[in-house]
Amino acid sequence: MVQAERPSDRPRLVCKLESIAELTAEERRAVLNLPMVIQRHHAGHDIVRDGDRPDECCLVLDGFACRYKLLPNGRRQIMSFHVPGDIPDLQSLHLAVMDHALGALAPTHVACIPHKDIRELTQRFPGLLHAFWRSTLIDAATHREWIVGLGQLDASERIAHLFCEMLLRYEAVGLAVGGAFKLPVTQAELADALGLSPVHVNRVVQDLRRRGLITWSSSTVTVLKRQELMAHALFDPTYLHQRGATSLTEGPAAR
Amino acid sequence: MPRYFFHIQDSHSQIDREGTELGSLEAQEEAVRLAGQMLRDGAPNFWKDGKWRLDVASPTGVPLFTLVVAAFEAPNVALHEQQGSPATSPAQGSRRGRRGVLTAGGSQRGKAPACT
Repeated sequence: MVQAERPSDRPRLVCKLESIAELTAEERRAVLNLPMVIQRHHAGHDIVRDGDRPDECCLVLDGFACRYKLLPNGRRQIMSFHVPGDIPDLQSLHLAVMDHALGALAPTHVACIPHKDIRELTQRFPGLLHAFWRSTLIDAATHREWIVGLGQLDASERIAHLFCEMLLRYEAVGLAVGGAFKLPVTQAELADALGLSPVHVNRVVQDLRRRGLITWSSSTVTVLKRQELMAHALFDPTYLHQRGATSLTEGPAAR
Repeated sequence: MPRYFFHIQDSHSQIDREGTELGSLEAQEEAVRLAGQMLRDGAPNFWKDGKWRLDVASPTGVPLFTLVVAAFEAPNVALHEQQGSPATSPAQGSRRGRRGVLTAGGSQRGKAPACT
């Protein structure tokens, strides 16, 4: 479904890129002027399917998306969550066939940017080429961090780690206020991301709440004790490679 | 979907106050998965008590089924004998090897679990 674009959405990409790389005024303008077609996806719908050969990349404007893989036996592994400002299928610029799917977990608007326009943009502005490259490298770093979590963290640490990651990523695009951010996922979806049973996720979330570390209601998670939650999760934000990275104690750095 | 409650007893009692909505067959499967994951996470502490128990109840509090994991020390088996070295004194011989079992049972009321 094609819809009119809201003027406030587009700068989110600039915001995201500037959280990981320095942009010149000209580069910023060029990103804002990229041609985009807006699509709206319902919760539970695929934005890009496994096996597709896309000729455009999708910028998440609002809502919430995930990369996932569905196995022949129906089991699902969610591999990452995506917030506004992310381009989760940026790799399709160089890898012709999708080897996983990109799905909306909440009503989500994405801006589709034709590959040819991104290629043209990055030829004109090598700085942006490096920023996009950096973004995909950070994706890889995040996947490495998730592997460590799936292999070595216990259930409580794993869930706390995800909350810490989402908080910092939302803060980078200006969408977390006072430690609160949108997490429009069910406990079953969280279970599919973290390799846990939904019952286990439920128990751990109850425990984190009881300990006063977080609240989670109406799809909003609020981190109440940032430093304690990060310590509990063995969370080290280095892998997010954010500029002006937040310290464990001080909250978001001024930008 | 009905809501099932998963109460755990190990070194301390953990009451599930919120429960989880599941299909009836799922509840049994999820109980085993939960047990596996919690035992994995709690491995370092398991031997403090050597027992772990999960009671699954219906929304009205009716017990449906129980999973029990218990460790028993084998009598008269010296730990270092198991490891291949001979006992050197009777005192050392009093340390015992251990083994564990995984058992499951229905509700104590004798009914078949409602979720089968």
